[in-house]
Amino acid sequence: MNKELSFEKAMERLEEIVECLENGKLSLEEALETYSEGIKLSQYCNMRLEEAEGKMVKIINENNIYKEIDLDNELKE
Amino acid sequence: MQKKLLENIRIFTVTEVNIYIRQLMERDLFLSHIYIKGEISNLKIHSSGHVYFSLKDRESRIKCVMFKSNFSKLKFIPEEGMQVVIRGYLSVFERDGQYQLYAEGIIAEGAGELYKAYEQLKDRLGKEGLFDKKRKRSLPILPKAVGIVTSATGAALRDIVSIGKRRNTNIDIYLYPALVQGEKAAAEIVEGINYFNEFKKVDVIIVGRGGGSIEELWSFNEEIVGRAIFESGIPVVSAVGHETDFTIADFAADVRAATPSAAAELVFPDKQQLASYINKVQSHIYSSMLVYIGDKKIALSKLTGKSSFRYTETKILNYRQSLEGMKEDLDKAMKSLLEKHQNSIFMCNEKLNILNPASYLNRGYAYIKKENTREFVNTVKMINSGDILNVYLKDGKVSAVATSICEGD
Repeated sequence: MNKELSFEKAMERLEEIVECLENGKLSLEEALETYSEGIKLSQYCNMRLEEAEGKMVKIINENNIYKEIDLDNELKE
Repeated sequence: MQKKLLENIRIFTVTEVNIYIRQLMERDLFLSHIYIKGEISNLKIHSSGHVYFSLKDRESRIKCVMFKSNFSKLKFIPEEGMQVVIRGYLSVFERDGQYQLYAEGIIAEGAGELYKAYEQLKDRLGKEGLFDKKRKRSLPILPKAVGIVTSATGAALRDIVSIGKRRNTNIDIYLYPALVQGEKAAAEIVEGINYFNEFKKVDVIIVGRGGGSIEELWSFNEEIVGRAIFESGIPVVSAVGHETDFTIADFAADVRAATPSAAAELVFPDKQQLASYINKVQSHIYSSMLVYIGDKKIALSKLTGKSSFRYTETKILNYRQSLEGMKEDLDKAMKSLLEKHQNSIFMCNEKLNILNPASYLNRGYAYIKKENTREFVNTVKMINSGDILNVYLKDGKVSAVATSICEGD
């Protein structure tokens, strides 16, 4: 599955798929294809939800040279 | 007589008099630092940036001038008929011999200076289309990263981070620390918004601060902040003060959050909620597929009972039969082809056997090589007397010495 697919697009497509399958007008082949696409998309969405722990960054601007430092530690202090 | 009189009197030029009066007025403690209230009239903003007007009440008026440097510091633009208090000093414009009030600051009476400024700016930017509903973007359902422009030490940051993390721990948080009150605040807030737009690390920006007085929230009413939010390519959520505070930033933002905490609720999707929604969709897909297949099965069993289908079935059986017949024919043809060729293959084998040099040796022939050469000897011309010759027979080699050589028989 395309890694760059946005979560929004995936969710949108998922809802379309549910609709398509529900109205039952697809040929058997189309239905199977749509079904497997739907399962893949929902797995992708779940994966996106479980992506690595988010990082916390503080931007430091020193005369328009930007540095990133850890924000987590600072908030704990 | 008259001349004599004048000789004893000091005579001044016009300029000298005007200079004298100017100095007099400027030395006066009362006139050199004064607040005067009145109504603005005959307002003219000159192309040089200096502003000329009169301050009047019912009976009287004073000419006023405000230089560009002071005028540009005003948060609002004075208007004709506006009731104001002017801070400044009185002096003389020597060229015209005209005394006037040099305005250093203007305070709008009644509504209050800041409120007036806010109203004017809101009106102006609104007319320009900065607050148009149709350009408001919706927020991403699941942002990968959220940018925050606020004070690094304020309560707003702590609120946003703690609520954001509680709802979803997988989203990156980038803080661009900015002052959120005072002279430099607006510029720093703008820098933050621009930073995120330049580096494109985040999908949504929260701009805000905790509650405060209208003066403390003022930077969010600055025109540059409103414009930076309007021009942001990334959706912006404003989160300024309390529910009752409305700022220019709020109107320009794609979404206004009542408070920083509310902004976090809007921007960070609840992971559990999303996960259960996805699972619901997934089982929905699964069950509709089951229903679909069930329907097809029923349709199929109905179809098999129909004569049209039986006709097709018979046709298939016929095809299969003729196909099997064809296969048998093919097998037979291959077999006879093989038998036919077997004979000639045997003949070829025999011929090959005869040509094999080993079979000559079997019949008593031999071949000769000179010692230490690879060539076969096939003529007496290759041999000199005394050469060592190797003679190869079917079961071994004999070394011999050439003693005499006769060409021909």
